[in-house]
Amino acid sequence: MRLLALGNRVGVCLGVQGKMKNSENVIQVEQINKVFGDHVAVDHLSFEVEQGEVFAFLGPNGAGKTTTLRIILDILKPDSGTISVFGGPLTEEKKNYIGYMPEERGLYRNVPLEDLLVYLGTLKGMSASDARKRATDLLTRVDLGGYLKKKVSELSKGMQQKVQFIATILHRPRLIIADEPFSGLDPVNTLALKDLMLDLHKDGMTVVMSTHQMWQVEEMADRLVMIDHGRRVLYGPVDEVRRTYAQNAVVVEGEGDWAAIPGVKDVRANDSGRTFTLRLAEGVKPDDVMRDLAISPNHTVRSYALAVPSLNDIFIQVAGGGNGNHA
Amino acid sequence: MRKIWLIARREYLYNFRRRSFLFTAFGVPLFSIGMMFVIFTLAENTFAATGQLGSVGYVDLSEEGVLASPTEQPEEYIAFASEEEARAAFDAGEIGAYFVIRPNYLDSGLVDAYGHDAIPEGIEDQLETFLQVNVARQVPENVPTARLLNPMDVTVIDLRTGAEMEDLNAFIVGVIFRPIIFGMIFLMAISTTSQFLMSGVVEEKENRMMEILATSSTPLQLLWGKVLGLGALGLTQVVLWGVALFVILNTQGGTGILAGMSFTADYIVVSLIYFVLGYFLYGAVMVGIGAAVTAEQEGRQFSTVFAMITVLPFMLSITFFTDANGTIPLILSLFPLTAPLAVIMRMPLATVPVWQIILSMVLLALSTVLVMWLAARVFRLGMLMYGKNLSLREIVRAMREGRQTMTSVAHAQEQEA
Repeated sequence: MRLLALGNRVGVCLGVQGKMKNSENVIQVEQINKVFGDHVAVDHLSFEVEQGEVFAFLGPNGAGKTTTLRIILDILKPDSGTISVFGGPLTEEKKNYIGYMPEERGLYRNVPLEDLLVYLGTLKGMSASDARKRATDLLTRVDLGGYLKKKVSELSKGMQQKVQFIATILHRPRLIIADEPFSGLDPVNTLALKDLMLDLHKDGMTVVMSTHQMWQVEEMADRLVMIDHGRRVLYGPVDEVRRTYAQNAVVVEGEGDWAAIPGVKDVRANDSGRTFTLRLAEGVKPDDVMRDLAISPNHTVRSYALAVPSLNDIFIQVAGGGNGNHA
Repeated sequence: MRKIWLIARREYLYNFRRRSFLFTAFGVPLFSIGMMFVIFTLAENTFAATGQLGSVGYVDLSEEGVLASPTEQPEEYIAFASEEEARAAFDAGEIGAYFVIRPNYLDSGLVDAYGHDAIPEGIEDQLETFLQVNVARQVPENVPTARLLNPMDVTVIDLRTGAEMEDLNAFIVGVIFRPIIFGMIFLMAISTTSQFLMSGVVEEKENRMMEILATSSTPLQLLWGKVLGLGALGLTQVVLWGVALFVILNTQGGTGILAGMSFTADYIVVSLIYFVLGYFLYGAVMVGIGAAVTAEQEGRQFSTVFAMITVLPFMLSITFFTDANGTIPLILSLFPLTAPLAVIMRMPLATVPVWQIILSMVLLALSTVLVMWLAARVFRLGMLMYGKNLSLREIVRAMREGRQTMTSVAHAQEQEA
């Protein structure tokens, strides 16, 4: 077991956790299986997505994320297992309440944005005039107001991705399923889309997003499921997952000979020596170490925190370098 | 239903604006009308060119004096007593050309023409008529000149039907042009639209629209929307071409050549039914191909095979002309892929027994339903199969083994990508 030395991120997610939640499940996945030839893409996977939450779907490349999302959306049929969306099988009417942003972006290239968005909106049950008005509003909001009559092929990649996101949320879905929504976006555009997404989330929209960018999960998600080789390897509230993976270690900032404190097994410097991770011997409680530090005349402590690993660390630890094998 | 309508409308409008459609639907008829115009103008000019040469001289050296006291002499024609005089007039610029009727003309028909450059065909035709009229005057009086000029007035009677056709020209036009022109319109309309159908599906797979569409509608809605939208487009094309054909038939020049072409109501109705059924069958095949392949190029290879089968009646048209109710035309009328063209070609040539038409339509309709069902299956399976090109063998294997392999091929591609 490696020492996970990123305790300075403690508490990042706590703000999101306390949100009100309705116990009704938007998506319920039970024991689904999908085999392609001799490759098991999804292996007895179960999880639930609750009403109004931001749910992160994690896993290395080839873990079965996209396949699972396609099964939820009824694009693919599972070999076995059941899926329930909004309390039952996915019907045509329910499709109108869902916005899907596929991993590989796709839009008609030679059609003006206005026509494209109105078409997609009306297919989701909007009236043409409502779709047109909302498309204009949303495009304006992401600084594409002047591009209504432009064709997709005339836009930059980042702009296209924003349009893709607008196509996903145009019809005011109650659930959006976004496969890697921020991949390939620059920080400014990422922020713009994230704000838009969080606004909708505040209005009660449930968000399921698959991603590799762990910091986004930490920042946005309430709960997560991580799969590897089609199997569920992590599942639960983000903080709980992180705490489960927390090691018996603390991160301190200050001066002194940390190794001299009783119960400290070893010391590692982080951030060019600004903070230190102290791994504690078995049975030693962080509180005991804090007490000792507080009374020690040889130590100055500016901050003291539990060393909770980042999701990134957990991801790497759980996926076990599986990335390379499946890419 | 609303979604099918939305998809159909979008497909219609989008493809209507395509350059290739505009060219086929408007360009080809306009081009044809334009060509007809040019041809007739040129033809008229050839005749008008008689005037360009100014006067034309002739020297009658024939022993019988065929043109000694001519009747119906064209205005610009001037008689000369000898070649020398004619030559002198030519050199002086008084005439643009001259003809010499040789002494043994009645036996040999020899006429020499002198002039600069080529002598317009119109002038030769003029001289020919002039000679015909005057040679005719040499035969006994009880033989009318008209009979010599136009020795037969044919009435063609079809022994199968007992129907009478006005003249040979009308017969040829009705028998040969009508089936071919109708067949061409039918084929062009079906192939253009079903090609759009296929490339539309491939395009949506390539640009990943398919996943979004699949989560907004069912595969069947998507399939029907596309097939209906493009079917309407095909009908639009047929109508446009029909109008063009009507214009061509009613232009002055057209009447001579194509006047024998008439369309009876039952022929048009039967043709339209075959157009619709044939389009659905062909369209379903194309959607299936589009869903099964990953690149348009590849789809074309497959669609070419089907196109070849569909045009078989054209390739075997000789069997239609010799005996339109023979074995081969009958087989082609019953085989669904060739039925529309075969019946459309047979009907003007012979009286096709009603049971054959009904049987052919029933077979066509049944296979259309079957192929639509298969196409929907392949469509649903192949919808998300994209990525790099598949080899022909892989596709055949995937189609044969069905769902499992098809999706796993797609999956394998994603893994590689």
